[in-house]
Order: sequence, then structure tokens, then C-alpha cells
Amino acid sequence: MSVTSYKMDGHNPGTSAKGWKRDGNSPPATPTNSTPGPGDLTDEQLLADYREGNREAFARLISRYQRELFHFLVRFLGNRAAAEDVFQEAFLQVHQSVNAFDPERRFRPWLFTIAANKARDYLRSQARRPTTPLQASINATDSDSGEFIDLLKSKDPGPSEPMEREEQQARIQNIVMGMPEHLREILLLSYFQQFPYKQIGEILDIPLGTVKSRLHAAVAYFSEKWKSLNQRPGAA
Amino acid sequence: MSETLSDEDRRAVDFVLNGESTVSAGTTMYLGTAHADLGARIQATETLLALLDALPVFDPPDDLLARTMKKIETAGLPGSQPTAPETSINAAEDVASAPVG
Repeated sequence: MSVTSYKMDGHNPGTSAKGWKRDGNSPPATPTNSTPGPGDLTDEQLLADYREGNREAFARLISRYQRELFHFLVRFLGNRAAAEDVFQEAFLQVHQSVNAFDPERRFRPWLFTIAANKARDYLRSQARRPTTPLQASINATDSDSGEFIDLLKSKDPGPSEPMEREEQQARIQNIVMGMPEHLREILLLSYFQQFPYKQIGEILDIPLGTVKSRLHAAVAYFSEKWKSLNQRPGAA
Repeated sequence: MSETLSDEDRRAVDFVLNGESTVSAGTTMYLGTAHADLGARIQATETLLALLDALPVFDPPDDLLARTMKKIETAGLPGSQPTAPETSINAAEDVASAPVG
């Protein structure tokens, strides 16, 4: 089969305790992986099919999760090119570990466990490298590469949008990207991916109490930074 | 880190993010004031967290699925462990056999 022949799965992922997700400003009532439509296979069934040699099943799984997982990775890593690399690494790991998957468990938290691990590995590898000045990143020849500042540029709000809105977006990005990695990770998993605390504990392999304390710290951090930014003279 | 939340704000965060009920059966007599205060805190928490919606979000490139499948297909059968890429061996040979100077 040609690698370009894989069809997009129209299924919109986003399992959550409340049955919807905030990711991408999706409205409530987004279908979830737990309740596939008539004729749809569940994630776990697709993975089982893949174990039996059905490659199309794996392509459907990737298609099903590509928007949600990519969004998480872009927000967590703050870099689109890195998100693409980590996305591929995550699914490669799923492929390599498919026989280790417990069919009694859910696929989505397992996928995010793998992806979060890969993303953390990436951040650690970057921390060991010499830092690159922001300007150098912006001017990189690889047009797909970029920091959040690029992402903001490419999402041109148009002249009718107030400049204040752009400035506010930039401030929020700075706060989130300045947040300690373990707090940013858990806040994104909870707010955008809508994982219940218990599942977050399983994904990150931490006790429920630590899930709570990290989330409280993340919200406190965000609140304090936001307040202090807006208390500065001239800040909106 | 110095930033901390009050107990009430923690409950509001848990309610917003995890749907946790914060009022136990033994606190019924305090419901009047407790609910009003909690409602305000929940609203404030939701307003604060809604700021995160401003984070830019980008859809994956059109060819990400195909590229990912290609990477997987070159990795071998499902469940197989990764092997060292051939290019690393060739690269070493190239370096070893390259003329000096």
C-alpha cells in the first residue's frame, strides 16, 4: 500500500470525563472514542486488528488522534517541528509496543503516556544542547520550524482584530511556556484533553495527591503571572 | 515556588477540572454562604482558565499521517524493536574510507 493512500478518519477524538473536550474550541457534544458511531471500531479494536496484521487499522488510529495529539504537543513543546517529530516517535513507539498493550485498558491514556514521555525526552535533549537565540530560530531555513512567535504570526487575525488581543495571546503564551514543564504538561492534559485526575495519575505515573498538588500549583502559577503582568504600568 | 491556592480555590479548581463535588453531607447547614462563595470562585477559575484558549493551535500538516506510516513501515513488524539504521554503518564506512586532506 502506498503511504499516501491512507484515508483520513472523520472520527473526532476527545474522550473526557464530561464527554467533550476544550481542544480546538470544540463545542460540547463532540463524539468521544469511548462511544464510536455505528459501524466504527473502537481504538482498542483497531489496535487489536493491527496486531493481526491490518495496517489500515493503524492508519485509522493515527488519523483519529492526529489533531488532538498534535495540538497537545504543539502547546506543550511550543514548537511545531518538534511536535511533528515527537508525534511520529510516539506512534512508532505504539507500533513497537503494540504487543505489550493490555486490551483491558483504554488506548487513549496509553497513547498520551507514550507521547508525554517522548515529549519530555525531547525537552531534556534540548536542555542539554546549547541554547539558540530566538532570532536564529525565526530565521531558520526550515520553514516548518518555528517557535510560538511564528505560530502567532501565521495565524494572522486580520486588521479587524484589536492589537490588544494579539498582545494578550503573546502574554499567555509566554506564561505557559515559562511554566515548569511538569506543571505545563499536567495543566494541558487536564484543561484541553480533559483527562480525569485518576487517568492523569496513570498517564504520568504519579499518585492522585500529586496530580492535585501539581494542578493547583499550575493554576496558582498561571494566576500569579497573569496578575503580575496585568499590574505592570502600561499593561492591558 | 511561592504561589499557592487557598483551600477554597483548590476546591474550585478540582470542581472545574475534575467535576469533583465539594460539598459533603455534613456541611448542609453552611450551604447558603458556602455555595455563594464557591460559585464565585468556580466562575473566577473558569474565567482564568479560559485564557488558555488563546494559545494558538495549529492543525497537523497534511502529510503527517503518511510520513508517520512510512516511518512505521520501515521499522519492521508490529511489536518489533528498533534496529540501528543502516545509514549509521554506511556513514562510518564512508568516514573511514574517505581520503584524508
